Amino acid sequence: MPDWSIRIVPNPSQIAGRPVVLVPDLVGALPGDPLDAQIDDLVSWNNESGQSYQPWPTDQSGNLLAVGGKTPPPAPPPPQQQAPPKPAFPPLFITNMVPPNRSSSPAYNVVMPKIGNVIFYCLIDAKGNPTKVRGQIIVAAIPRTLNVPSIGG
Amino acid sequence: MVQFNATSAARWLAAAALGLTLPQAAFAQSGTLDCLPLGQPLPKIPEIAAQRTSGIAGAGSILRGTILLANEKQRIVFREPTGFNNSPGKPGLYFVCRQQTVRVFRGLNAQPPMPLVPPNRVGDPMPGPVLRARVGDIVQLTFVNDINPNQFFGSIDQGEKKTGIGCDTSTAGYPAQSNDAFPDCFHGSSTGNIHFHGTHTNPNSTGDNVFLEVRPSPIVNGKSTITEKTFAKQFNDFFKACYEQLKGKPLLEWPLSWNDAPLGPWDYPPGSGNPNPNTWTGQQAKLLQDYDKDNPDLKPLWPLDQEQLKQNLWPQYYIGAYPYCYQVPYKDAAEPVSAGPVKMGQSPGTHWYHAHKHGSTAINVANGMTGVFIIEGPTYDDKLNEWYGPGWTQRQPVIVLNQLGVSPNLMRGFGGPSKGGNADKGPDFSVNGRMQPVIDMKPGEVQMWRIANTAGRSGAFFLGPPPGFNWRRIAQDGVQFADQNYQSSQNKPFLMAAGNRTDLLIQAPTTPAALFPVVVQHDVDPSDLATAYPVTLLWVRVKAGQQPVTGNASQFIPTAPTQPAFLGDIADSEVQGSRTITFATTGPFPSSHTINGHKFDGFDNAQQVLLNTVEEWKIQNATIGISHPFHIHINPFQIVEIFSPNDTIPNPNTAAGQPKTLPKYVFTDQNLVPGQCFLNPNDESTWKPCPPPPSPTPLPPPPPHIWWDVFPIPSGIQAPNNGPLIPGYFKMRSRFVDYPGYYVLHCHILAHEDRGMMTTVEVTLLKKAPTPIPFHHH
Repeated sequence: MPDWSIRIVPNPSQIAGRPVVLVPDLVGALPGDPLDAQIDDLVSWNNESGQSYQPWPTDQSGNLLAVGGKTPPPAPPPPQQQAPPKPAFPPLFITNMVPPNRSSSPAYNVVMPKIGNVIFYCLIDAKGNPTKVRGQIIVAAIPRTLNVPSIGG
Repeated sequence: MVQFNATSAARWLAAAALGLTLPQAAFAQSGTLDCLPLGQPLPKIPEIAAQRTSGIAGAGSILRGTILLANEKQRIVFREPTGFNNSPGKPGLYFVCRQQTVRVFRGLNAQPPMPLVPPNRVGDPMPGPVLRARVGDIVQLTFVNDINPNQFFGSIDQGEKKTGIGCDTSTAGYPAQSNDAFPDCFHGSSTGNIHFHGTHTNPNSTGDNVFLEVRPSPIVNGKSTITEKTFAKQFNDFFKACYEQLKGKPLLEWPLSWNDAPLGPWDYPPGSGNPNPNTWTGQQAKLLQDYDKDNPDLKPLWPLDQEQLKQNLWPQYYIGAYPYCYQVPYKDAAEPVSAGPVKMGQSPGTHWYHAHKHGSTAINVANGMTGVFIIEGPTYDDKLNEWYGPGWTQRQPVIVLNQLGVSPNLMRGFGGPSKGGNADKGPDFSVNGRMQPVIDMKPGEVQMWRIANTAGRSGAFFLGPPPGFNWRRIAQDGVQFADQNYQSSQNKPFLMAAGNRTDLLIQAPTTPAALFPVVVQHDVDPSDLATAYPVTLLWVRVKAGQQPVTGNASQFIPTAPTQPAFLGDIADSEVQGSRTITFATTGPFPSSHTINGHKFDGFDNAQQVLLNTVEEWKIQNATIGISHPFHIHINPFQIVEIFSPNDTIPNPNTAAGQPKTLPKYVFTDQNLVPGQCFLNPNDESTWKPCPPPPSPTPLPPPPPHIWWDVFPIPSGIQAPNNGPLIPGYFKMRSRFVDYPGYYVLHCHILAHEDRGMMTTVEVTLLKKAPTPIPFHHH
C-alpha cells in the first residue's frame, strides 16, 4: 500500500488566516487539491514553511473535532525523556505538531471516516489556534483504477 | 478484464513496436497512474565498469565511480485488492500503479547515463548501476547521500531524538502493537550506507562496513550543500593513496584511523580536538558539530564519533558523502588455502550491493536501493569466454529481482477482520524494475542469466525451464560450481531465497516466434509451495526470422570451469571449533525475531571468532512456517548437513484418494513406510536427518559442496500433545580468514533484521574475553 506526502508551503498570496497552503506531493497537483488515498495508506505532512503546524480533524464545515476528548491545544502531551510511554493515539488523531522544515510524525494511517469518505482537516498553529488552511483526504476502499493489467490466471 | 498470456503479450509487444504504449507521464493528480503494459523489453541496467590498467590478473585495476542516493518519484506497482490471502498470482487480482517518492541508487558515471528523474516527472523503477570489476581490483566509490528526508515521514532518525521512543511511529499503533523497541524497530530510513554482499574483503573503515551511518546532506534554500563535487579533491587524493597502499597488499585494512593522511588528520593542531579545515575527516567533524548545533532536539552525533576516536576506532557517523575504498583479493587458482598471503580469494561471480542501515534495510531495499556487483575472474569468465567467444559473459543479461514497495506492512493497520489482515506476502517480483518483462533469445541460443534476488522477503522458487528450454546452474551466490553440481543441475527446479544469486545457463529451443514464461512461486518456507500460485516472472521470446544458433554458442559448456583451489571443500580435519546459533520467531503476530534469544542490541552477544580459523556452526530455526534465510558477511560457507523436519517423501501408496506425499518425519515408530523416520519428541538424539534404508537420501548432496552466503534455515515442527518445538537446522562450515574486524550475521527477510534478528560477528587477531561492541546502530 502506498505512502503519501502533503507539502505545507508558504502561501504566496499572503491571505489573512491562510499563511500556508497544502499541496499533495504529486507531479501536477495544485494547492488545495485533495489527496486520494486508500484505507491503510500512510500520509505525512512535509512542513516547508517557517512555522509549526498541526493537521487537526474537522467536520465538513471546518469545525474542529474533539480528539481524545480534546480540541486544541494539541494532543498528545510531549513524551517523557526517561522511560517514554509507547504512544497510543486516540481516534481521529492525525499527527503531532510538525516543526518547520520537518515532516510529520507519527505517520497517519488512513481509516474510512464514520460518515462519508472524506477526511476533513485544518492546520492549527503552534499556539493551538486554528487557521483557515483546510485539507481533504478522499478515502477509497479500492483505488481508482486506470490501466489495470490482470495478473491472475 | 484481459488476462495476460502469450497471446495478449504478443499483442502488447506489437503495440509497443508501433509506438502505441501509453505515455510515461499519463497520470492523474490522485497519484494513480497508468501502468506500463506487462511484457516490456528487459531494461539493460547502466553499468560502472573498472578501468583496465593491466591485463594481468591480480594487478589491481580500479573500479571508480559515484553512487548517488537520492529520492525521485516513480510509478510503483501495487497488487490489488490487498489482504493476507491475496498473494501473488491469485486469479482475479490486478495491478494498480501509484506515483510514489522512493529512495534510489544512481550511478553518476554509469554507461549509458542514468540521470535522476526531474522533480516534475515520474520515472519507472530501475535498480542501482551494475558494478563490474575483476578479482584483484581496488574499488573506489564515492557515496553521496542526497535524500531530502522531509519527503518521507519520520524525516530524521527518530533514534536520535532526545525525547520519544526512537522508532518511526504510525497512528495504526506501530510500534506499540508490535512490541518493537529501539533499536530493533523501523527507523532512520534516510540514513545511507552500502553493503557489498558477497565480497570477501576488509569489513572495517572504508571497506564493507555496515556500521556506517551517512546522514543526508544539509539542505539550504532548497539545495543540498554536499554534492559529489564537494569532496572530490579530498576523495581523489585518498583514492590515489588507497591504491598505493593496497596495491600488492590485499590483506591490508587501510585506512585505520581518522588521522591517516590524506583523509586526516582530523584535528589541528594534532591533539587539540579542533576540526582540521583542510582534511575530509576534519570537515566531517565540523559538519557533525554543526548538525548537532542545528538540531538541538536530537541526540548529538559528534560525541559518539568522539568516543570512538578516543578508542582509536573508525567512527560511524558521517554527513553527506563517504569514500569507499577496498580490494577484492586475487588468489592464484592453483594456490591452496594453506599457501600464500591470502587464504580465500574473492570468488569471481555475481554479487550485489544494497542499503544496510539497521532499522531501515527493509524499506530501503523495497524502494529499490539494490544493484548487482559483478566480479570477473580468470577461472570463470575467461573460461566461459574461451568456449562462447570473447566478451560473451559481459553481454549476458543481468536480472535483478525485487519486491518493490514503500513502508513495511507493520507500519499500517494490523489487519482488520474485514480484510483478513493486511500483512500480505509482499509485492510481486519485479525484474529490473518491470513486471514480467521479455528477454529475447535467438533460436537455439545459450545465454547466461546473472540472477540476483534482491527482494527483502520472498524466495523465488523456479519451477523448471519453459517447455523446449534447458537450463543448468553454473554458480551460486557468486561462487562457481564444481562440475558435478553443474552437471546434476540440468533442468532441476531451484530456490533463490532473498539475497541469493544464481548464474543460469539457459538454452532456447530452435522453434522461433513464441513467448515462453519463466514461472516461479513465492516462498519463505517450503510449506508455502503447496498453496503458492505460479507467477510469471518474465517471458522469453525466441526471435522469428533468424537462423538457429549453431556451434558452441548453442551448447552448454561441456564441463564447468575448474574451481580455484581455495574453493575446494572444507575438510573435517580443518574444523577447529563449533557452536550453535538459534534463530527463533516467537509470539503471536507480529511476533518477535531473535538470535539466541536476543534481539540485536549493538552492545553484547557478538559471535567472537579467532582469525584464520575454520568452524562448523549448527544454525537452527525454532520457528514454525518460516525458513529464515541465514546470511553472514565477508566469508561464504558450505552446507554439510541439513535437518528439515517438515520434509516430505512420495507416498508409495499411489491409489486414488491417497495423498501424493507423506511426512518424512513422524512422531510414531509404528507402521513407517520406507523413507519415513521416527522423530521422538523426548529424545533429542533423534532430531537429526535420517536417511533410512532402502533409499538413502543424504542431505545435502554429497561433496563437492556448494558455497553460499545466504541459506534458508529449515523451519521447525511442533511435536503433538504440547510437545517441544523441534527446530530445523543446517550445519555450515566457513573459513574465518584474512580479514579481522566486526561484521554481522542476520536473517535476510529484512523486516526481521530491522526488528532484531541480527547479531555482530567479531573476528579477532587474538583470543580474548568478550568485550562490549564499540559500534552501535542508532
